[in-house]
Amino acid sequence: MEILISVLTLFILPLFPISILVNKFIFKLEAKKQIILVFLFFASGIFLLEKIPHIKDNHLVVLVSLLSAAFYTFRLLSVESVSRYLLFLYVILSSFAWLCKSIGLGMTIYLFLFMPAFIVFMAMVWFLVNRFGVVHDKIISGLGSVMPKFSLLFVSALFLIQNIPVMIIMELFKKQVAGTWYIVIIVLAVIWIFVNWAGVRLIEQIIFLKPVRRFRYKDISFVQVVLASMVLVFEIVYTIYFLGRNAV
Amino acid sequence: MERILQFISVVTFLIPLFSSFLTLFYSFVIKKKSYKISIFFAYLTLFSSFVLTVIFFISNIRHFRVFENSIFYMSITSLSIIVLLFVSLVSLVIHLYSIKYMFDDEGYIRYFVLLDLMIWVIFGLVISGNIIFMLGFWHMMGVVLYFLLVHNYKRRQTCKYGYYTLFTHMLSDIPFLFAAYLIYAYYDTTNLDTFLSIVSNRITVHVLFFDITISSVIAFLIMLSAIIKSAQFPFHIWLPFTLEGPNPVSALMHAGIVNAGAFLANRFAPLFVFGESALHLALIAGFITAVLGSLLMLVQNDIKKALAYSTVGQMGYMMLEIGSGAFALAIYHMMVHGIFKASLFLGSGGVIGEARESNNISNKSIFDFYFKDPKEHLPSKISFFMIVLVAPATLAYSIFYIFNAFNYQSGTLFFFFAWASGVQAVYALYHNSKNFKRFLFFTTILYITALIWYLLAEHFFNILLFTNTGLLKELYMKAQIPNAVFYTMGGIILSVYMISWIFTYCKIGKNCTDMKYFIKVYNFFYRILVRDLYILDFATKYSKKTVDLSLAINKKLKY
Repeated sequence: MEILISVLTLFILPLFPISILVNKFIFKLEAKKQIILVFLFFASGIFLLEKIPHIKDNHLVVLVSLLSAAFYTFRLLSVESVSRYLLFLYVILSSFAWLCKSIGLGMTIYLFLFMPAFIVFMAMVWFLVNRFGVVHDKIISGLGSVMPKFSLLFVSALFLIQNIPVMIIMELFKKQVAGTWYIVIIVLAVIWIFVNWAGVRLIEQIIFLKPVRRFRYKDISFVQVVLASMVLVFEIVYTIYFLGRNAV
Repeated sequence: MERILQFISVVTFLIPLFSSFLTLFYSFVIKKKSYKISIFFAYLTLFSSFVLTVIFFISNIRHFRVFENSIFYMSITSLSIIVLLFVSLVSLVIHLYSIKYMFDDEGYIRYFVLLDLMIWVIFGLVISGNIIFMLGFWHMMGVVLYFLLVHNYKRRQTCKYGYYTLFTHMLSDIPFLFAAYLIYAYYDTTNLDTFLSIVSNRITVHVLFFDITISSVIAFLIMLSAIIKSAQFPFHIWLPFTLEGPNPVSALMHAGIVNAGAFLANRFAPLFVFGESALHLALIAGFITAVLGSLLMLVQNDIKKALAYSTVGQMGYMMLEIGSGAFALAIYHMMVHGIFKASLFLGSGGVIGEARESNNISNKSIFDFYFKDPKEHLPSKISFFMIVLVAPATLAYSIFYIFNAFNYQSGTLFFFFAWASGVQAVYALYHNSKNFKRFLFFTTILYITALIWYLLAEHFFNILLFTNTGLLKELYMKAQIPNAVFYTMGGIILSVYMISWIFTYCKIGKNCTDMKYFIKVYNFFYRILVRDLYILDFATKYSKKTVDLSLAINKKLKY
């Protein structure tokens, strides 16, 4: 039973190379269905991950999750489609979830640290798909000047997601690690740099530069802004609480 | 009294954040007029900082704490108070300048919201006493600065150069992150005061290997972080390219943000008694940056870029001061440089406009003036050499006698650069004078006054910022490098100065035929300097290769 749960979790929260199969399946779907499936996979994957025993301090899991996160972060640099960006981000966050499990973090950490900003990001991608039908950056650009509320939420969510490696490093503080864990911290720091680089490239392509004239632009509604802002504020407050746990 | 100070400090800290949110919120209601909220709170911030400063110095309390044993722990010292007041003042000036300057820009209110957020982040960095809290603000400084710089984000160049800034700031976050980790892992605390107290009292000494202690590693990492943030070579590339951002943002950056490294070094000052390598790193980095920044400034043909490289040079001097143990002097330098550079940037727009309308550009060179007709200008030559030799000698003697400045290498370093700067200033300014003798006389007086003022300022700031004079002496002692290395470095730079002055004279003089080889060397170095030592080209090439490699993998793997 445990093996079954582990295998199922590996497909729902994929690590490289299984992620190739999972992404291939997800990418064949329509854009909106991709987003729904990614959300369902991620949410259920976290609950299943919690059920898997004997992963804590498992160096093989740590190694594979780090390599997977690093590999997909590197690939994120040249992604030209927001849908693909979302898929790669999903694999990176899955890798971090496995890494957190092997460190010994509880489910609440990835629920409150990973999920809120990722949900908001997915909501923004859904909005783009709904509004424009396509999410390729060569077609959409300059949304910052025509959709300011959307842009603010998109950028805020992305920056919060990008700081997840630092949160994991902060949790490693408490372990007072030695030996191989130093390497984990160094790799996470490098991943952090690259994930920010990729995020800035995405922002530059979607939010900055000049808007495409042939589209009609309508920003997100006030209600949607309030809901998304509340989720992000919750994550920020939780992050401060999370950091405060480490403060002495 | 301490309760009043605690209350005012919390209020001062929160005002810019409150202003930022309120301005954003009211922009949906009153649109562009919500900038007035930001201006009002900028005045309030300055008033609050001023009241805090007055009460702090009247009360004779030199250090107070707020929210102890929490992540929001604030540890407020005289350093924090001075920097808070300074930043509030600069912030108000920039707010007022921006009212009209930015009025026609898209994102007018966004600019004010981000400006208030930046001031809040700087305040947070200055008052935080918890290392994680401080690290958070250290990181946020880079992020908020990025969004301020990409104000005109419709231009591709602006986005590209904005990223260089963010990337460099993130690089500076990493050593700080590792230092914070080591502090927590080995000293079991994130409280900055507790950590410094443990280190200073030598309660526990953790040794890694080869007698390298953890405290020296932490000191090295902190200094590295400060060096990267303060645009030291080779991490200076981002600074000239921040000119894509609005002028007031450049002013704020050159006045406040780029000085964050000096603040961090001062905040961790007691740690550097156990981290000689950190001080030596600062000395070398500062030395190289001071020389290179000044050289790079000389080859610029754009006034704002010249100012930016001038800032690079000044940051080098500041780091040199830290590396030689003069921490308080670095704070004074930071403030004075901040004010003068911010005013230069704010005024540069007007200067450029005027220069475009005027045709009066002087072609006279110093050596034409001095050596074209030696008989006519003999008295000037004597007075010229006087400033080169006599003035610093007199000054050095007086200062040596009064302040014993030559007990440490920092004194020698200070006078060396003062002499070089003074001579260079005279060279640069002479052609504006109608009566050179009078000009030289008054310049000498001003020069000596400025030097004595500088020394007095160091003395004053030392008393203000460091109550423990033993710590100051220890820092000066630890900053000493072997005399052979020190005097070799001095000799090299002295030779560079003398050769370049002689070369400039020969180049402009009548008989240049024997100088062909030197002109080739000059042209070679000029080409390298104009391309900023090809650092940007190197970084652009390899970042493009990285992205191309990522693209190749994506094309092959697809999923």
